[in-house]
Amino acid sequence: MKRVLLISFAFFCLAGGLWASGSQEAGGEEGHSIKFMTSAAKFQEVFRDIFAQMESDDQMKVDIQVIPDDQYQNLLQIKLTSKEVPDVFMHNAPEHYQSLKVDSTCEDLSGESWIPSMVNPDIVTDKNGKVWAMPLESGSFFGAMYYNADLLAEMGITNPEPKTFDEYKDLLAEIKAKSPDTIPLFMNHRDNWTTQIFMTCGYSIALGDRGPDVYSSIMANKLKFSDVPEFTEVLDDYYSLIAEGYVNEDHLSAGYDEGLAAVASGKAAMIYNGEWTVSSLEAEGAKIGCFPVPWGENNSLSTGAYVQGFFVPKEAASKEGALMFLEKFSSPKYMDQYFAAKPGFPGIKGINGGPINPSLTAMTDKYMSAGNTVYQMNDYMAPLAVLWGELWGSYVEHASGSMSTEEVLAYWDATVADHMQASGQAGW
Amino acid sequence: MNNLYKFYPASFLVPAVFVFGLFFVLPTIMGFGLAFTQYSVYQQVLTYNGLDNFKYLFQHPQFMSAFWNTIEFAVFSTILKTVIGLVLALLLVQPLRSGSLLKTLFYMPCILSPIIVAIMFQTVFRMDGLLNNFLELMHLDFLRQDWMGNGKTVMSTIVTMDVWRWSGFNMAIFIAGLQSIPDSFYEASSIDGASYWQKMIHIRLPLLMPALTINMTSNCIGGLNVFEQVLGLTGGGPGYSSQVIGTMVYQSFSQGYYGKASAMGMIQIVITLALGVLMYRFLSNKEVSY
Repeated sequence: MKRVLLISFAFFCLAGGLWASGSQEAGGEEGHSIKFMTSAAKFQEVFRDIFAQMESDDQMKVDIQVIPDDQYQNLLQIKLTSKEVPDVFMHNAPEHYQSLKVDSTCEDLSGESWIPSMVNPDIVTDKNGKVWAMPLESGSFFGAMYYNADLLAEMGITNPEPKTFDEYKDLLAEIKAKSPDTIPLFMNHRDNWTTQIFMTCGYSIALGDRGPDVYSSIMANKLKFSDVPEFTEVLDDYYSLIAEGYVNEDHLSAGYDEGLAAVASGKAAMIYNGEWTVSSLEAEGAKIGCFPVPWGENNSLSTGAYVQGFFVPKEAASKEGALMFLEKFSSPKYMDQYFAAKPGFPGIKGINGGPINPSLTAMTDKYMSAGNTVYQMNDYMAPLAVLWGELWGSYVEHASGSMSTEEVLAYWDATVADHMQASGQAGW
Repeated sequence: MNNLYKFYPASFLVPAVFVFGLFFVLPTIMGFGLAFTQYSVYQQVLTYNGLDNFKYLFQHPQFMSAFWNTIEFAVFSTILKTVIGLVLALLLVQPLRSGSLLKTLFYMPCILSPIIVAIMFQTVFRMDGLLNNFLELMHLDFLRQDWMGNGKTVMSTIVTMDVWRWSGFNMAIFIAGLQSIPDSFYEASSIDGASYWQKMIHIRLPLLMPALTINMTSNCIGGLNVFEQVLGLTGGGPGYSSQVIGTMVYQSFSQGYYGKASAMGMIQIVITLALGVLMYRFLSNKEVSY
């Protein structure tokens, strides 16, 4: 028995020692070492340069973990649940505040030094006045067609600006007729976050001013997805692009990166996505233009009420290092470096946003100054953010022809009802 | 026997039993318990809900598709890995100059990370990948297709990848089995005038049954627990076409539905146990001794 106790004691000492050394916070006089997690689409090459600079100038070592887009949300939620977390991660803020349960999983950043310098504090501040993420930008997501302007110019098409969805299809038909080897529109359903851009923007554009009322009725259980004719119309229109042969033949297995490569190289004419694609495409030497897709007879620009944010998990091993990382990153030294490589709308005051693509500037000026913008559907449905990956899968099934428009909307109705009831939402 | 206990007392088992019990048995029992509750990140109070989770799952189209995909994967991967492993073993058990090199080459895929293998196979099965280029070269253009994007072929791409990875491992076990058959059996049968196929059917195969039992049982269990192969190669897509129980558990757990995720896990464990035990018993009854 004595021997058993001795062996058990030795075992626990060993296990305790290993645990203690594993959970020790990195840092101290020699600087900080943190783990930074992001998805493939959110990751930018300029991060490597910035982090190398941080390591040499600020003794801040950043270990980058890039996760495939189709696994990011699931993996992140598993990590937060199991408390095996990185020190900093990127995600859409405030879109994912609710799905990540930030009040119990993430650090409240409301007292940080960069808070007074935010350009658009409202966008990342929750209803209780708390900030859970440091914004990279002040505004984000202009859902539009981003096209290879040189390629279209070679076909004699300059500054295309369709006013209706039929006009848009005419443009695709013209491209196909003039250059049969060119893919008019590149779709990449392997990453289904790109698939859903058609719908989250299309629904809002097709609904126009009725959008907010329709969405709030759905969330209050007074209306079903399958009751909204505009949803059916958008899904049918979307499928017609595939059925009529305007897209790449491998659209079901192609990923986001392949889409960028295809448009940049001129293999494909355009891709439907957000403004973040512009700098990636321009980095490959392509001249890029853009226009919003009109759905039905409505011609407006769909935008998002979210930005890319840096979150710090409560269970971060190097929390002090993570907060210092945010402080460093928010400084002009690194923010300017970021926006020089990825021009955009900085989230922190005093930062040079860099040279923004003139076509993008013209598009946003035109629609925003006229007040002709709508928020994408996702922004009205925060409680469903945890289900996005599953629900967006039905759009891909639709693209493959396995689910009809009616089946997709019925699947949304059933899945959303289950979730809203299980999560105790009012009215369900 | 008493001497053995003197050198290796039963108390040596305590740490192993403790660790196994704490990190495997206890979580499994707790998981089984959770399967009968509504427990989720949204309702963190344990409420017994009987068989509701199971009823829900067996009426859910996505889960049923994942269930049958898992069975399909297990059946085809088990048969193919075993047959290809056996053929390779029969070929490489012959005295060849390159025997050792070939055995190493065929065995190597099983030591690679499943994610690395998945990325490699993406380059094989994509539209402009190796397989379609090869078909074009052979003037078989009509066979070209989006292997990972077609709901009818996507499961076969995952089976192919898994078969490529594990056939060499099956081969190694079969080679060990073949080498343990005494030469005197072949010599005696040759004197009696037995042909190659007669030796195969009456000597090799019956005496290979222990190796076959090990291979088929482990292939079947591995097949029913498929997860990382799907996650790495197709992510369960396109749409829901290649979802398996493992990826559904992952999805449900990440959505915060622990009760449902546990119910799925329990279904997977029960199927694995039932089929594994049945297969093991059936095959081990066919084993012959000499």
